[in-house]
Amino acid sequence: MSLAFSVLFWFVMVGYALATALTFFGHSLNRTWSIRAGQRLTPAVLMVHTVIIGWRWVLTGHIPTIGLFENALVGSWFIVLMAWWFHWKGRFPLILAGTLPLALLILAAAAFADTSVRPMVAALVSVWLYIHIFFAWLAYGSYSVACGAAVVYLYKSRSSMQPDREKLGRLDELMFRSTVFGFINDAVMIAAGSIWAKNLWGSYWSWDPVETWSLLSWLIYGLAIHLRQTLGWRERKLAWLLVFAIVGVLISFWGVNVIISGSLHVFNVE
Amino acid sequence: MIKPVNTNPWKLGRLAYLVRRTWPGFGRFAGSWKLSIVLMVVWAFYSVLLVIWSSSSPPHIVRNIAGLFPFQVVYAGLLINTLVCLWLRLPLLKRSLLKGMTTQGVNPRWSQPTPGIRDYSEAAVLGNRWGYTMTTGDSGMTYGIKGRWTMLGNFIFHSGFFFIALGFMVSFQLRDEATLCLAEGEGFTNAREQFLDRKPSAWFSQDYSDLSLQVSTIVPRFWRDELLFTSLQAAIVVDQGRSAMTAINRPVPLSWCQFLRLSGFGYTPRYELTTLDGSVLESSFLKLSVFPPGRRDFFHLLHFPHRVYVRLYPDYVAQDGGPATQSCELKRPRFEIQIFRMKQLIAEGLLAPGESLAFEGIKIGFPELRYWGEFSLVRDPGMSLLFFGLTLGLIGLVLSLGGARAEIRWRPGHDQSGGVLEGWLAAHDPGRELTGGNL
Repeated sequence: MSLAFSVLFWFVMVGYALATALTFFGHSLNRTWSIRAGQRLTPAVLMVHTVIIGWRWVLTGHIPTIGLFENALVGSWFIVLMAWWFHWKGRFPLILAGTLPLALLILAAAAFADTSVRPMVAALVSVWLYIHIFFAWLAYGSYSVACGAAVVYLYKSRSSMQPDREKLGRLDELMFRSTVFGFINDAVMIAAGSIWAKNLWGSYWSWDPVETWSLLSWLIYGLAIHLRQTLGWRERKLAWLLVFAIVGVLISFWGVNVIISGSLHVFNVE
Repeated sequence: MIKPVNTNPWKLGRLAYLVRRTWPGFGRFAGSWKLSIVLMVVWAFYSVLLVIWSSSSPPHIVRNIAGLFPFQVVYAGLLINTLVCLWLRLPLLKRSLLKGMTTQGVNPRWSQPTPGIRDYSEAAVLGNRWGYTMTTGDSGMTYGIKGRWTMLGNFIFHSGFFFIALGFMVSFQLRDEATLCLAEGEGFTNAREQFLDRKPSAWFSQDYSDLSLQVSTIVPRFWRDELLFTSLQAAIVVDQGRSAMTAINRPVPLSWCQFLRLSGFGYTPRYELTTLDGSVLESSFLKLSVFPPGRRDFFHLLHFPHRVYVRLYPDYVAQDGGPATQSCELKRPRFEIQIFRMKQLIAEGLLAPGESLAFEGIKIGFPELRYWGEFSLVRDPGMSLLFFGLTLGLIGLVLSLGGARAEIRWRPGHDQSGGVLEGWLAAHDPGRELTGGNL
């Protein structure tokens, strides 16, 4: 990684951290200037984030999807973009504060990953790779927004506060809709990955740890949707379930490859 | 109560009677959402166990565990539950597809005066802006519906899920896989030595005697001087003359349920054993496992007691007093050979293609070098079900994006001050629909 690239990368990390801190500070102590500063800082940092992704693309000659570093770079971008979209459309100022820490966590993991430029190896030359990864990040971005909304809901609905029922209702709706959107994209991701696996390994499903964990997370979110629709799990119950469910997503992408080395789902090309 | 006596001598009549008696109860149980949730939770726990197992066991062990009876019971339970749920929801689906209002006689969830709207056309404009398909009925009532296709999408999605699950079950039972080892220029003859591995299905063993397959060329490409493939392709001829190209992740379909893919490669040198004056004693192609560079393999001479150990350096360079390779491309290949008789080293040397090494009155050389490819031949009847289910699932998901079915109705007021808008929304805040419109 060149010095200029490193500087921009750390600028993005610090920028998101600052935006999170400003938003939290503003809401905790009722400082409007701080909230606005956090809201304005986020898209500015996102633009720099976009620049470094484009830079990496030009450097490697392919879409940055190889290895933990590139996946973290693009994945965190999707998370921030989707959080910003929901904030802008739905006017949920705290959604950024709830979701940016996840993006930061992923970027922090990227900071420790191998950043060397790797080629697009033969096993990855497939249109299904791009479909699989695109829908993966749409899904994980949506789940992150759902988790962020859940965290905000749990914070705002504490008994010590005087919650605004109308805003809580919209947050509840956001949790559910982003879960459904993520679930749909997750289904497409798993399907595309299965087709790619059939082409590459000759089998749709190999009970690979990453495959199994991604199916598990999909089941958990499916369960959340069913519980909402049939048993009426809403508000705090749904929020806690979504906070728990994001752990499965984090494990399926990060935990498995960090702790278990026997996965066919190789993100780092060796 | 007098119980009816079944005087039908045929057992089928008695069976039909039992089915009719027990079906409502079975249907209620098998199609209940509580059972769905229980089965999903059990499957999730089972998946957690498989994740733990898969971290320390090879894939075939995990597949065997996934195929155990308890898992199959849960799997079958989910299939039956999905099927019965779909069946029981057919009447609801038919109702949800109706173009007209389905909530007549039901109290609206919300109602709002509309002082700015005085006639049906203005109400229709408002409804259209909110995404409703507005209609003015014969009685003059204006109503709007949206999300009419959502339940159908939900139904199709779960149907797709059912077919995918069924496809996996069929695939698990009927999948047949064979791994072949064929060199450039070699045709498939169904000989045992051409098979590296066989994984027949549990129900039948596939006969490959009618398979037509000839390998033309195999082309690997590496990245710089590293052991990274940027391309691995093979040109093949199948089906009595059809040319095709297969690559590491690009299988060639041979039939509706059979495909062939390239999964690996190695080196196939031709060795030639001659007398000192050049008469050929033995010659044969060898499929050696000498890739990646540095790996050693051996072979026995056909008519002599010697064993020959071989290493191949694709792009030879002398390094630190010994042989090495500076890349994986076949630019300057060299064979490092050691010849043993019994356990005694007889001769060793470094040969370029065309060079030979003399030992005990004979010479050995490697005049030709080709590639061999590892081809995976898979026959999987479950593939079609899987793709069908996948297509259904995607169609269903797209149709579901419209949101839950909602209906609104506008009634004119008794005076000229405007009317009343009433809504029958599904599961979200009624006031939300009104925030985006101008009333």
